[in-house]
Amino acid sequence: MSLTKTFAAALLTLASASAFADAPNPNEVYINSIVFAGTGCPAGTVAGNISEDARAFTLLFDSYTVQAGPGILPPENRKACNLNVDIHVPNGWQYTLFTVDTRGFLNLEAGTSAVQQNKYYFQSGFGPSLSSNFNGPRVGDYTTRDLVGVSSLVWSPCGINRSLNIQTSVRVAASAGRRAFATVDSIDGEFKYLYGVQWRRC
Amino acid sequence: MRSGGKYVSLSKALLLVSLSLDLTPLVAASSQKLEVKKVSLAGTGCAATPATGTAVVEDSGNSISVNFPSFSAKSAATSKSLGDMRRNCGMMFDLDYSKSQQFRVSRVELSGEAKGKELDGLVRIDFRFQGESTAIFQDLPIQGERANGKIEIKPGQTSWSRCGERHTFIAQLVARINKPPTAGEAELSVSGPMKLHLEWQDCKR
Repeated sequence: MSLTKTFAAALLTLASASAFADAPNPNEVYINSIVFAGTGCPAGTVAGNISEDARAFTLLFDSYTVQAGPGILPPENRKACNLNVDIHVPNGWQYTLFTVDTRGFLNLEAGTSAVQQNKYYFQSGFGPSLSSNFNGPRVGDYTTRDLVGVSSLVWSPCGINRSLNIQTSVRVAASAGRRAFATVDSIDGEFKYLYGVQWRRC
Repeated sequence: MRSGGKYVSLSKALLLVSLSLDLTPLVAASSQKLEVKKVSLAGTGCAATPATGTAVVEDSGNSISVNFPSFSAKSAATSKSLGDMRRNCGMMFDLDYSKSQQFRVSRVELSGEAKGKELDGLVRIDFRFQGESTAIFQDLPIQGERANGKIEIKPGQTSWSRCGERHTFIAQLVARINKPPTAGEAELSVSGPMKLHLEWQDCKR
């Protein structure tokens, strides 16, 4: 299956507007929608939710699993899921903390390893790449927490919409005869306003 | 607690009431407004689509009964894949209840079955509220064979939901085999309905 077909089949929009019980605060960063695609999140394998205040989201995965070992072909040892989070950025200057919790499971024999990585970037440029390395022998759950500071400067009185992209991935490696297995069970994200100044009214 | 007969003397009635208060000090108020707007499932043990989860509020809002497809973790002495040794089902509950109240999970009931004399595994339940970093979990070790029957897990002290904010609650059920048997096969299955018993309290001002 070509890369183009894979992405076309996996695109899915999680619309937030209909989920709002209370309107989001226009003076803070909030989520408009999320689109995700990748080998770790094909269409129909993800359950997602955006919170009522539109500042948090949760994704649960069916098939974001990788493995390596005897008889297992190489494409199975790495999967990725790209998230495009469309956010509203309010007028003025703001500093917002974006936290992402990635949860999953590892079953690594001795002589094997796993890496879970998240790369962040806005439309305007590149951001941090954060990764966690795990070595076998190890069996159990893991949780990684990324803290990403988002500084914004907006002149438009009613704010603007911007895309925050997150490239998530997990891969395993195994030496001859050894076995490794890893999952990403869920990804949770939250925007938390810390401080800012607003100088124009919408 | 209910008295045995219709006519109970006043002194006995007072004794029964005081005992029940001692036993259930945390039940300050049960929510009459609890509603499960939606439950979504995803995991290696339960597919995201088609939607196969249903949830019903019971006991005047003090419990939620969840139906989900049964799933199994499997292993064998000749197994080459580690992936079958662990199956999980994430459940996302979109709830509606009073903003002046909060809840936590006090007990979980479901069904399970274990096959294989050498089975060494566990059933885990963990939960968190959307936006919270801490997930509370509790393991129930399973050793050897076990006929299909009721499983009860008490998470101990769990965190309370946030007051007045988000109402999304995430639970994850896991069946896991810790190591392959030296001979034969092993299988650990869990099935519903799963009953989440809730405790409620009024939000502190």
